[in-house]
Amino acid sequence: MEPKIVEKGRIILVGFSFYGDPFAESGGWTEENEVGRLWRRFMAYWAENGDRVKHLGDGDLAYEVHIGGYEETASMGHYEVFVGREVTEIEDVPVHLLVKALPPTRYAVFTLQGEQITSDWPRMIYDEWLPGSGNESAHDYLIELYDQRFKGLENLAESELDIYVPIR
Amino acid sequence: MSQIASICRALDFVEANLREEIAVADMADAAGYSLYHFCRMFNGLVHHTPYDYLMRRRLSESARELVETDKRVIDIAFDYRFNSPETYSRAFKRMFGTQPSQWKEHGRLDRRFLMSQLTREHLEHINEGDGLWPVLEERSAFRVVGVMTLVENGGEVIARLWDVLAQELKDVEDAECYGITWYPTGWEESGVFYMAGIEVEATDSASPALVVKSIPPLKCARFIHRGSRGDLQLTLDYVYQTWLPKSGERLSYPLEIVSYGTDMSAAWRNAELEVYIPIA
Repeated sequence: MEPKIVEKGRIILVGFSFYGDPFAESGGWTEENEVGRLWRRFMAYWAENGDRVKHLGDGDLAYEVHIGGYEETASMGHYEVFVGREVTEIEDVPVHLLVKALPPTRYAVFTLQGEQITSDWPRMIYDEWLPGSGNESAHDYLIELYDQRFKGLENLAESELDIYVPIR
Repeated sequence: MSQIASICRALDFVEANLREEIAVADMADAAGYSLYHFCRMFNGLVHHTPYDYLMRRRLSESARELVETDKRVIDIAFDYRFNSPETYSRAFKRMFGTQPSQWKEHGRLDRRFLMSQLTREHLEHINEGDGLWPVLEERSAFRVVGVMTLVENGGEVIARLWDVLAQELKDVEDAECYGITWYPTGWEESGVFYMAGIEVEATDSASPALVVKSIPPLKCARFIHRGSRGDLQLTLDYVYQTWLPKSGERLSYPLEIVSYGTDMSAAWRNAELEVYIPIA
């Protein structure tokens, strides 16, 4: 699986965040874990408050960002998971939303198809692709970028998902 | 390699390193997964987070050492890689409800609540069906007649009890068969009381060879055990070591009621049993 390499400026997101073991309550791909819960909060908030955040920008891509590299990441499996939308400004961000700024960087972009989406692709990227690529990891996070090509877990076979891995 | 086989390698790694400085990331390496994927898979199959399982295994082995050896609490705490005796005490109390020092002085090793070393058999059993998702229900009072004895090492004595019961109740048909276990204080040394019996309405015609037990109304968690009677321990390990701490429920009596269906001759071999655990 060969990635595209793209250069991106600062990405500013607004959304919701969780820190801890995202799978403490339930593993697998059910919605009953913290990642599922974040998405439900995010969808419900946008359905309810879409008008109040319109002025921030109209990006329709949804970002799920996994941030590791904390002291408890290796020892306990704790991550920050951030689910949000890209915005062009942060004037008057409603108090319920957090702002996350991702630094300007180069990304390796992998497009996952069907079953690959639920496979152990982080291992494939970080342990198999990265060491032989002449690049190294630039930051302790990666992005899952959801657009209209993702048709839901129930339609995995027809779905695609882009993974952005910061490299240098 | 199957997911269960991969996770088993992480479980083996934990056993080999209970007293070593290991991280969840090392468990993921042993399984051959990325850390993020490993955490997702582990809890999906084991029903504990990797870190929780590691801590419970360490605390359970340390609890055994507290009772079985003369080692000091502080040495055991450091042996099992706790940063300080205080951290150890807090974690110990969270799992066992008592301080390590009290446990050492008065402790009894109630094996039911120590986290077992999980095996491939456990994982296959946990992931076989939905029988281990309990239904909470109120059971009304009922009476059982049968035979009862103190059982130290399970198996053979219990099989013999069912034979005796079948002889005494040759003419009875369609009665619900129950195996009832009571864990008296100190059961690890003394054994448990086990009763093989059938449910009855009236007890006045019961043979003098039999005993009668009245079970009061109980709030119970009902589990379905699938598999042989010999594998019942896999279900019980799950109930006491995984479900109980996760659910936040508390036991009301040290009692297990296993319903074997109505065919006494087949009861022993029935492949689907109902297990009732009384909760407060």
